[in-house]
Amino acid sequence: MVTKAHELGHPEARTSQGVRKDGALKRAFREFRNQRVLYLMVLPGLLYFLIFRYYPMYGAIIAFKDYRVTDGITGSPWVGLEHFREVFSSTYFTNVLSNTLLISAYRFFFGIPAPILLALMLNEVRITWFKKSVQTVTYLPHFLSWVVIYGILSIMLSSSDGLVNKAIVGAGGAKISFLSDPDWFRSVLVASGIWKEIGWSAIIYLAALTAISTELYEAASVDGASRLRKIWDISLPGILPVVALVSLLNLGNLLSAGFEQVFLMYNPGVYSVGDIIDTWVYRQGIQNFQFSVAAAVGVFKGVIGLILIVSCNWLAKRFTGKGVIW
Amino acid sequence: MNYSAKGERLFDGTILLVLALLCLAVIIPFWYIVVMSITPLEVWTNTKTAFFPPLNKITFAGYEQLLTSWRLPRSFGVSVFITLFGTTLNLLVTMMMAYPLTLPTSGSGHRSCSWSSSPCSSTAGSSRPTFSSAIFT
Repeated sequence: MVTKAHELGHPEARTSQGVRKDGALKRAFREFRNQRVLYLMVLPGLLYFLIFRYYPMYGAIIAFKDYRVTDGITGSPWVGLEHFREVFSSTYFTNVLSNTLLISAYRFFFGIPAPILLALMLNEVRITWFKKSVQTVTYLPHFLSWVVIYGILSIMLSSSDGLVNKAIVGAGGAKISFLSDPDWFRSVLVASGIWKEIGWSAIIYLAALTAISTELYEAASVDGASRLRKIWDISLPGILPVVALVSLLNLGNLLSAGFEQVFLMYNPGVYSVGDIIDTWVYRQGIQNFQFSVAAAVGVFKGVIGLILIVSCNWLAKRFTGKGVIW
Repeated sequence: MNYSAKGERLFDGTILLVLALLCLAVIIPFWYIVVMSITPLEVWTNTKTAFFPPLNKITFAGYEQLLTSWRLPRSFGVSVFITLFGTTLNLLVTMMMAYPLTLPTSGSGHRSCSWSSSPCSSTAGSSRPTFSSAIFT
C-alpha cells in the first residue's frame, strides 16, 4: 500500500472534512485511526523500550525488598530503605563513589582538551598528506575493542618485559608495574582512554573548524595577527559551542566512569583506587548474589544520572538555545 | 613582517613534531605486537632489539595455529552475525520510529512516543551493567 506521508501525518489534513464537534476521546481515537500506519511503524520501537527499558524498572523494587531468589520479586518481604542505609553507611561505598567521581573528573579535565588540541594542531597543518595520515593513524585505536587494547597495554606495560619498562630500565630507572600499582592505575586508565579516543573525538571539532569563514583569518592576517593569536581569537571561539555541547553530554556520564575499560584492566590489587560503582555493583549483585544491595546502588545511580541529564539539557538550552537531547 | 617568517617556521615545525610523536605513540605499540607475533618465543625472550624481527627466524606458527583451530573462525562468525543482524535490526527499528516522530504534528500520541524513547528513560532503572556488541565495535 502506497500512502502519501502528508496525508497520514498531518492532523490538519482531515480536520477540513468536518469532524470537529466531538469529545476529546473520540478525537484522539479518530487521530489514532487516521495515522494507524504511522503508529504501526512506531510499534516495534515502542515495544523495545517497553520490554527492555521500562519493564526492567519494575525489577528495581527489589532495592526496597529483601530479595530471595526462591520467593521471587513479589514474594520477598519489604524492608523499606534498609539497603540504602546499609550502602551509604559503609566505608567501602564512599571509597567506590570517590573513585568513580575522581576517574570521571580526570577523564573530563584531560580527555576533553586533548582532542581539541589535536584538532587545532591538525587545522594548522598545510601539508595535506601529513594531515590525512595523522588523522588516519590516530583514528586507528578507536576501532579496536577494549579487550584488544588491554592486550596491547598489558604487553607494552608488563613489568617483566614490557617495552615501556625496558625503556625505563635502559634509561637507568626502576621498573614500574603500571597495571598493579595503585599509584599508577588511574593514570594508565585515563591515559589509555585518551589514547584510544583522541583521533575519533577530534573529528567533531575538525568539522566545526572547517565551518569557520576563511575571511576572518584573512582579515586577521591583514591586521598582523600571529598564528597563535588567530587560533586563540578565531579558531577557539569558533568551536566553543561544540566544546560546550560535548562537555555537557559528558557531564551526564559522571557516575559511569567506563565499566568495560575498568572491568578489563583492574585487579584486586588496585580495588582501592580503581573500583567504580558499576564494577562494584557487578561483583556484589552478580557474583555475591546480593541482588537487593546492588539494585539499591543501581537505583541511586539511575536517579543521579537522570538529574544530571535533565539539568545538562536545561543548561544546554540556556546557553545554546536548544536542548542537547530533547 | 620579517620576524614572522622564522616564527612561522618554528610554529609549523613544533606542530609537525608533536603530531609525529602522537602518531609514533599509536604506531609503536601496533608494530611491537606485530613483531612479537612473528618472532619465535625463545628468540623473543633472549633478544634486546624488539623493533626489528629477526629476519632469518620469522615464524608464522602462531597465525597457523590460530587459523587452523575452529575457535577463531567460529567466534569471528558469531561477531559478524551479531554486528550485521544487530545493525540491520537497529537501523530498521530506529528509522521506522524516527520517521513518524519527525512529522509536524501536535497530537498527544506523538508527544508520549518521543518522550518514552528519549535517552532519559535509558539512564534510569538500569541496575545492571549491560554487556554489548561484538569484538570490532
